[in-house]
Amino acid sequence: MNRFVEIGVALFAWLCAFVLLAAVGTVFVFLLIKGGAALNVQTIFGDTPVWEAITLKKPCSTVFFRRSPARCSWL
Amino acid sequence: MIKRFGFWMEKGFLAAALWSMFLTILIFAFMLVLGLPLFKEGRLLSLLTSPWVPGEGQFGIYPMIISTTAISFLSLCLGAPLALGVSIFICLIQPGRLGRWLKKVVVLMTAVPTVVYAFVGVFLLVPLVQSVFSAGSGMNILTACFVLALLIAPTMILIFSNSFNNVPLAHQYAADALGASSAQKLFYVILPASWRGIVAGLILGAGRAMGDTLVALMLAGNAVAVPGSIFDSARTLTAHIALVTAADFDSVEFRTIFACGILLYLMTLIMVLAVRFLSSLKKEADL
Repeated sequence: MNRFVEIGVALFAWLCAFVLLAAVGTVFVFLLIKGGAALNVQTIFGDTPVWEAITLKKPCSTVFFRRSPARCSWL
Repeated sequence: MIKRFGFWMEKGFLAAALWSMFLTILIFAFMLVLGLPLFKEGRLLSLLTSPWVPGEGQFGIYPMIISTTAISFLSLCLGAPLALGVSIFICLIQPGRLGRWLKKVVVLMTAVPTVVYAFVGVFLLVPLVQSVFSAGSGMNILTACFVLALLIAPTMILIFSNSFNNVPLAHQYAADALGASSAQKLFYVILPASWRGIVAGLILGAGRAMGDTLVALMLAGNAVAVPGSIFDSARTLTAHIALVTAADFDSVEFRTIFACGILLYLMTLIMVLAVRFLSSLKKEADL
């Protein structure tokens, strides 16, 4: 078989592996750069203390963990 | 005691299988019953052939059928060579540590939710396509296909590499003994022996591209017109279902989503049957 085909197959395989890794890497790096800085306790629980928010003792609104104690009175 | 346990386990698995079968039939029947008024009115043909113009009383899903087919086909055209190349890399070029490491990345990719890919596509790929191709808003078939190709690639890579690994070692050793290079081994031994696995991977990849909702919904632009080029916006059947469900209830427009559902169901069924037919061919060949 032609030597060029040998090199072509190997090159194609390396290129595909590189493209895949580059695409996946871009996705993760983008998420880390954009999301990593924004993800902190304040984003999730706001100014409410974490333990009191989780146990629904104090409400926390306009954040990810949006819960009101009145809705979960069984606790 | 063990015999009795085995008996009940067998019954339990049978019940689980029957239950899942019953649920699948129930979903199909549900779509059929709710879409029945539409079919009774004799709208079936116009539904499949006319455009979507609710203002003029036309509720055809023809543009969505064309868009779904175009997007699935194009993403398969982009994803299949990538998957084949990566599979060759994993199984033939670098089967050692690097190949195993890459396979782990591929497995990780299958676990990433589609919305993450679509979300990143909106912020990274849309502006890129918009500026490079000067393509309107950048939300078009090409953008959706790039992301869908990345989405379906892991499924295909895993199936391709499994079928490459299932090629009898005796055949590979024989090729090695004859002094075959890796490319010769690929073209004369591995690809001919694993073509059924490759076709199965392609069919499953196409099925996944066809059934994905969020990527098409967020990146394809959702225009209800038959696309003329890859730079046109398009709405797939799945995106249409999602959009109409969110906006409407109990009207002719709403009933069309059941027709979309039935159509998607039938398309997926055909793909699954094709895969099963291919695996039965493989079993016969093994015998």
